Amino acid sequence: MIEAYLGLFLKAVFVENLALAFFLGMCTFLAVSKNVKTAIGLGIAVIVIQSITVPANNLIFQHLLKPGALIWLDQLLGHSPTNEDQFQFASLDLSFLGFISYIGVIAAMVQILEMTLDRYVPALYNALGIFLPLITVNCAILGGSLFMVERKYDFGQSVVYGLGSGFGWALAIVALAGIREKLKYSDVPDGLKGLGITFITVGLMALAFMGLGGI
Amino acid sequence: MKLLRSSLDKFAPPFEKGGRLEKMYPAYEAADTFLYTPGEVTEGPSHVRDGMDLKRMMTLVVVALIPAIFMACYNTGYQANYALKSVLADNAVESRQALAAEAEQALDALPAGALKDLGAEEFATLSAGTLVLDPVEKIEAAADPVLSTSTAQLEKAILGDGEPTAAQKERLEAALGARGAVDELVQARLLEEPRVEGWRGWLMGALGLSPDPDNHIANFLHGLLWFLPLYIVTVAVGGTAEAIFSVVRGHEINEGFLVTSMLFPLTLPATTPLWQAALGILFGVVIGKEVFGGTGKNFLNPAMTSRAFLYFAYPAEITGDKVWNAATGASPAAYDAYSSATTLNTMSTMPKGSSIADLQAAYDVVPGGWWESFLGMIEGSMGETSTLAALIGAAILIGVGVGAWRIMAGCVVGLLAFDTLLWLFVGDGLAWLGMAEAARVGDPGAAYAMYNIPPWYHLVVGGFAFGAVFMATDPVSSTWTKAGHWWYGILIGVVTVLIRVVNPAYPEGIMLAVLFGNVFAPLIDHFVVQRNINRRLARAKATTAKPSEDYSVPAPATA
Repeated sequence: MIEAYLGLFLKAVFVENLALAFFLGMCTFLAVSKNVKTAIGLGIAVIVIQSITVPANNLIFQHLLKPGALIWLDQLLGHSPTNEDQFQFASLDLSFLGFISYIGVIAAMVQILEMTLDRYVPALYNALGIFLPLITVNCAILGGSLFMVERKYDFGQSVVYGLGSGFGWALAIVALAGIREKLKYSDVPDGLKGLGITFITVGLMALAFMGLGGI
Repeated sequence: MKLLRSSLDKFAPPFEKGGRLEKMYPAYEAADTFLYTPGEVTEGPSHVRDGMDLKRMMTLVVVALIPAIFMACYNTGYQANYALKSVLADNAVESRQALAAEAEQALDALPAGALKDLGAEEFATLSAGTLVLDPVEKIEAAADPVLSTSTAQLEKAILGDGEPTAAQKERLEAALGARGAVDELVQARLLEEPRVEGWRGWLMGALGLSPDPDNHIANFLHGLLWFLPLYIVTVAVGGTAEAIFSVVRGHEINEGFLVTSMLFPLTLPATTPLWQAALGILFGVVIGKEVFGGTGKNFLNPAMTSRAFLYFAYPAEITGDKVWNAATGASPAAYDAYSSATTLNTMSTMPKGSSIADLQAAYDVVPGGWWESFLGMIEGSMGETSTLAALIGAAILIGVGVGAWRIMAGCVVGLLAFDTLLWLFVGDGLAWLGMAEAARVGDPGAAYAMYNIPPWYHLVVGGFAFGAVFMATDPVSSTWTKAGHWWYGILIGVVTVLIRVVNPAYPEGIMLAVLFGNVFAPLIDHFVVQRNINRRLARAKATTAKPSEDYSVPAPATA
């Protein structure tokens, strides 16, 4: 059990790294990786959001949205399985509401995190600026929830996956920030300055991460 | 020498500032600094001078690489020559079996009764002469009258002592004819000699060398003929790219490329197609280095970037069990007949639960023992096989103060520590030590064979030693702080084991581990520096807060 969870965690961090294998969440990944301190802050924010929203969305999917998930409502209301007029909830398939439900959960979580940071860590709140609210529409976050649904993780797995995928993304952005701090002293051709060289850097980082593919 | 200097000086003016070829100055400067130590000195305000300039550093690395290059040539040639001989021996065994069948047919085809008159002894002689001799002995015995003796015996047996009858003569003729046909076959097949295909064979033949694994000069030369083309292509293509960037961007052509261009071919299998080597070094030099502004400004090791590019773009030419031996690269016959694989390759494809002894048994081509691996007489990329050569290189690098010993030590510590854990608790380490296996995780028979390789084997097989000494210590892409050296080295060692042992997708991990280390090196430095800053701040605070009481000297920061 522990081994399987550990395997899933390592896979989420290294092999299926949201940033370097799937290239998700690129806008924040490229924009907030100029210095290590901010990157760590954003990384932690993503870990927190990811490890709350993925399990939360898992619960929503398991108990509300997936085909037949609402059977508990029938049972609660005492509907008889033989009575077709009554026993309706079990046949409902609400998975078309997936996107809006997941993004709603994410938006709410980000809002709560934002208020918490504003109250307790104002320095980080200011450093993250607009990018904290932008986590709401960060495809890495929504991607985590969608991967969770697609791969049919149970609740335990979704907790581990949320933590692992968030950690992997954080690791990638912090490493990128470290490299970009070093690259300040580089002599990049004018045409590549800024985003251009960052894209090349990220590509080369992905090359280095490919070695762990297959674990 | 004077002539060289004066001719260089004569060519200088057009390249200097205001000259016609001012833009081409980097090309002139490269030739000049390559041949002479530059005479320019700093003018104006004083600045920090360091005896460890880039030119000295890179030149020393090149010197440290010489043993590895030597072993690369020798071992490449040795493996190729060994393969050629072994293919020939295999062919001879096959030939012998085919000949046995043909000879039997020929003897069967003799007129009935022709052999009935032969005594058992004569028949044995006939068979021995034709079939049973070892092929090598057979070649030596070609001039030997074994067969003619048996002809005499045949005559005697068939004709008898008296006056031969017509029937007897006929029988003798038929027997001789059959034997003669067999004999010709033997001669034709068994007098084959190992030979190198293509221009390399022509060149070796011109020098009077045959591919004999016991001949050291033949080994070295054969290997050199494989290494040189790759090296020349690397220098030509990579050097051109570097020169173009230097001229256009106005920086100097750096000695760093000398090192990169030597390291890169050493990390390739001898059979790598030349166009791939060209493509690889182009990627490494341009995308891995020049777009960041040249040597000293990149964050990945350019040689490793080049190789990783080829590794993922053209896996068929850089992995598997057909690419490692030069002989199979040149001769289609040898390609079909001979299978070469690195120790790690072999081990990774063995059935679950296999031990190192099984590996050695399976690895019948060249024994994959510890000492062969240590010396480098095993299959692999050209320069990576010899741990001994890497150790000599390491001694030179550390001795002259160029290589960071903390990184090398860190790599070894990380690899040994992590692999010992895996070996003991997942592999068969506890059983090997004769201890109870209660602590072992999982089913022993189901453990991936790599878990069963003892940690000390990991030090000598594959490219670990070469990578730890020459790749990880690249002063540009590694960490810059001393405490960072340890963490960076340990990270590389651990990731190497992670890729080799835990990850069944790739048998070898040092290349990707070094790149992985490169990615995290700036971050490690950042944290080391930050920790030191915090510690000093805290110390300053502590000493200023209580000025009168504590006069002891604070412990110096260890990093």
